[in-house]
Amino acid sequence: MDVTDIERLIAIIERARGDALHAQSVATSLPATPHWSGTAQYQARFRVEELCQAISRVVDNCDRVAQEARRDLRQAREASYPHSGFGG
Amino acid sequence: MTSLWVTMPGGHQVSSEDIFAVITQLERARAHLSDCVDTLISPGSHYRPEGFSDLVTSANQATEEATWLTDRLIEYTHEVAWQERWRIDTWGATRDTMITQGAQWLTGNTNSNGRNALADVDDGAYGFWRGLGGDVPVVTVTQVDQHYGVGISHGVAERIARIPDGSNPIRIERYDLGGGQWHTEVFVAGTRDWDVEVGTDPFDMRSNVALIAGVPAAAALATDRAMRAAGVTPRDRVVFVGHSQGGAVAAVLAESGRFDTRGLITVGAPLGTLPASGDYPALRIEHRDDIVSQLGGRMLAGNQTVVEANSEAWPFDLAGAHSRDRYFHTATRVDSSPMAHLSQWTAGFPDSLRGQARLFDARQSG
Repeated sequence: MDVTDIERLIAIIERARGDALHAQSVATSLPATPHWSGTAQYQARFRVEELCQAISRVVDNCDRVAQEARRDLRQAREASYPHSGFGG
Repeated sequence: MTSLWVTMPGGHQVSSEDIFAVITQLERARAHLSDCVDTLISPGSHYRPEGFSDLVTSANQATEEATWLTDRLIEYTHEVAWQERWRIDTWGATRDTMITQGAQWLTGNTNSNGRNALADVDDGAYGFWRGLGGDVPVVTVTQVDQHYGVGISHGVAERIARIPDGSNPIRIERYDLGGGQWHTEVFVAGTRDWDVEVGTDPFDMRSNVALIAGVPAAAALATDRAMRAAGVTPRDRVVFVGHSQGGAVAAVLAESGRFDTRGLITVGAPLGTLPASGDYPALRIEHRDDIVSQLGGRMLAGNQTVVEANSEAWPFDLAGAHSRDRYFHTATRVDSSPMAHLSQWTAGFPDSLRGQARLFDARQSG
């Protein structure tokens, strides 16, 4: 396995995870009550809880991919440097 | 404190700043996830571990979830925009008719401009303006102060803070960009004289009426004259900033086509009938409890980004809701908004420049 390929993949998935986490932090601060503007009341079609759960699923999937890739990276490094003890 | 309420340019998307911030972050996540899938399945990649197909499935699932969420949120902002348009058309029409009839009653002029005076605020204002004499004023400006080595503003709030107080209502800053290019920022204050009778102050109620009616206003003529006195040429890149009547003046000059307008920031201005149509960023900040911005009539769709907020003034404190200080506070919230479109609104303006600022006073005669 090519270490560079896996490292690149991990970097991309970490960026995606970071963006999703940022979205999650903003979403958790959303008011649970509907939005108001002037004389109108806008009931969101989603509930804030559901929005946060959906974003959590995105983060979880990112985690799963990153976890797999990290494990493979460790194995790839061990294969490249069998006597270095790298990766424990 | 409630979130800022944002109408995007064109009026097709409306929501709170938080929803727009979530959309932006999810769009970024979606782009990265899509990149991740492409990297995984790329024929050039040698990464084909055990359980590779599960890995691709997880990455695809994350991409699809992010895409689905983003699309639903965008759909929501379109839906809210549609409802907002309906609300403005319904309630705004009633309010505009009341304002127009009030103007007719004050002047005794029941036939304004031959158009339907019972619907449009600008028609009502035109009738009012005619009732006041309908003269095109003659204005003179005087430079009263000058400062050198002035640093250019950062962000929206700092620009609001530089709008002068009433004593010298026009502030013009010029920054040398080199190569014969200049960046100019024009700051215009609000109404000084609340009398509708002819006086010597161009920043009076007659100018308010003229600006809404779409006819030459003394305050706009004075600002234009001050710009010429400060050496502003049509080649200058100009950012206009104004509060209340000064915001309407700023919008009229930005739209005039006589300057290379690079930005427009208005707070508490009666701009309903003055939408931004030029190819420049326009930011309009309004307090929901500020009646001055309502007097401009129903908001027409344009290229402006509109930010609405509660002023946090006491109920019925109309002056407080309209005050520049309250708008400065709201502008600080714009600068620190989680929505990048707002917090980076001035990112395209020049940074770290030093120039000169001139302050002008103005007078008018019949």
